[in-house]
Amino acid sequence: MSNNKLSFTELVDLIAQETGKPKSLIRDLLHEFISVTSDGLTKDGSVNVADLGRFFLKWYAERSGTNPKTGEDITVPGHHKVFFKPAKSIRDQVNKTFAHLQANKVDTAQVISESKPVVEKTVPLVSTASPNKVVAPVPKPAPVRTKKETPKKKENKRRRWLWLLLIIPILLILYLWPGLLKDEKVPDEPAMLETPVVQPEVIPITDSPDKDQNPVANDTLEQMPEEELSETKAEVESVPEPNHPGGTHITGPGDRFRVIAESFYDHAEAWPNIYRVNQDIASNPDLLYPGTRIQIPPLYGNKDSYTEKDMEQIAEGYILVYLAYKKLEEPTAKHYLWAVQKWGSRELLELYKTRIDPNDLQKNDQIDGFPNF
Amino acid sequence: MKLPQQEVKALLKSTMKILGEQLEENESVSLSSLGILSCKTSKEKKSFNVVSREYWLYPPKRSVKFAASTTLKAVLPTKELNHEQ
Repeated sequence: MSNNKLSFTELVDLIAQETGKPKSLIRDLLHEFISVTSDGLTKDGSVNVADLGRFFLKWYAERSGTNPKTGEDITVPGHHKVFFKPAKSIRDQVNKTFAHLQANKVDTAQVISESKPVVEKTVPLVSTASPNKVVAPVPKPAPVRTKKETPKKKENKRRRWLWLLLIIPILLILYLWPGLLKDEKVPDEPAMLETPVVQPEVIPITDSPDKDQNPVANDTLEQMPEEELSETKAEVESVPEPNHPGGTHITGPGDRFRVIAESFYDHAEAWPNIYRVNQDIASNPDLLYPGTRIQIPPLYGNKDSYTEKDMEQIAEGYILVYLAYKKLEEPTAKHYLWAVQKWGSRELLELYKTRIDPNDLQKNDQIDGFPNF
Repeated sequence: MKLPQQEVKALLKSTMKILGEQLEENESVSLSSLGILSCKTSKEKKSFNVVSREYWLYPPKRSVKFAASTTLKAVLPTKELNHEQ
């Protein structure tokens, strides 16, 4: 089929030849037809020509646009456009060639499975007149998207895996870094492994002779060199067992330090030794609340023969009792200061000199002997 | 023109017939001062129905187009017609 253009003159000739009328008449008729159609479009906006179709106008409103060449903003004014809708007779006549063809459903499974050959995969259109007859080969339908990976996707996937393989070791190193550092320090400090750090021994509140005479715990002894160990063992063997081991005591109604000392030491006069380690609990030596847990320090001597250490501790207890009574403004406080001379040396008084009232100290100097409390 | 209406009708009918034949033969017809009537062939096309999930192959189709001449465009009204369809 050729795509030639039939000019107006040729059309006139054809019509004249067909109808047998003069060309001038046909030309005038066509001019008149065009004139009427043009006028009808201009005035009414629509002209219907029988057996040909309908000419009609469509209005396009004003709009802003851009000149693609200059880039300038322009305003496209409102205008009409002429459209033509052919009559059904013309449409049928024009489509006479393809009238026997109908839309054909394509087998989806066939489309998906067939992917390679191009020519063989065309789906023929079947003529309605003879259904079995293949009318025209139809090009292969557009390939259906499958999950097949393209080379680009494969490359991207490979890159992602490479990044992952690179990042995972870095994260592992960062996670294990503190541990690695710790391990590296070990060779620099071998002694740390050989001799573990010995935690400082917790010394009980009581100033028991254990602190001085048994200064080392059994665990520590095991880790000491042999020479030191033998010396320490000798010291431990030489330490005597306390006559009054001490302990703890929960006070009952009517309990006083003197009574407790009588109970634990068999000697009431040694009660300041108990007060010495419990002065925080009882600010007033004469007052003890029932249910109070008090510590009883051990004494290595007995009523008739105290050790030097026992004497010093009891003397210090007397000083603390003096200070407590002095704080309570008890007039008898100075009497306890006198007792210090019996139990301890004057050096102890010198130690507490700043806290002792000088007047009480002078009186203490003037008195010989120990008053009977 | 002083022609009887019957004759004009017959002439126009013959004209339309010839126009149809020319368009059928894929030839453009030029109507001076009006425009050009042409026939365009669209190829067969495959479409996918999203509802039924089916592929359909549609046969080729021919349609008539019209391009208005500059003479006609020049006389067209510059304002929107009220009775425009």
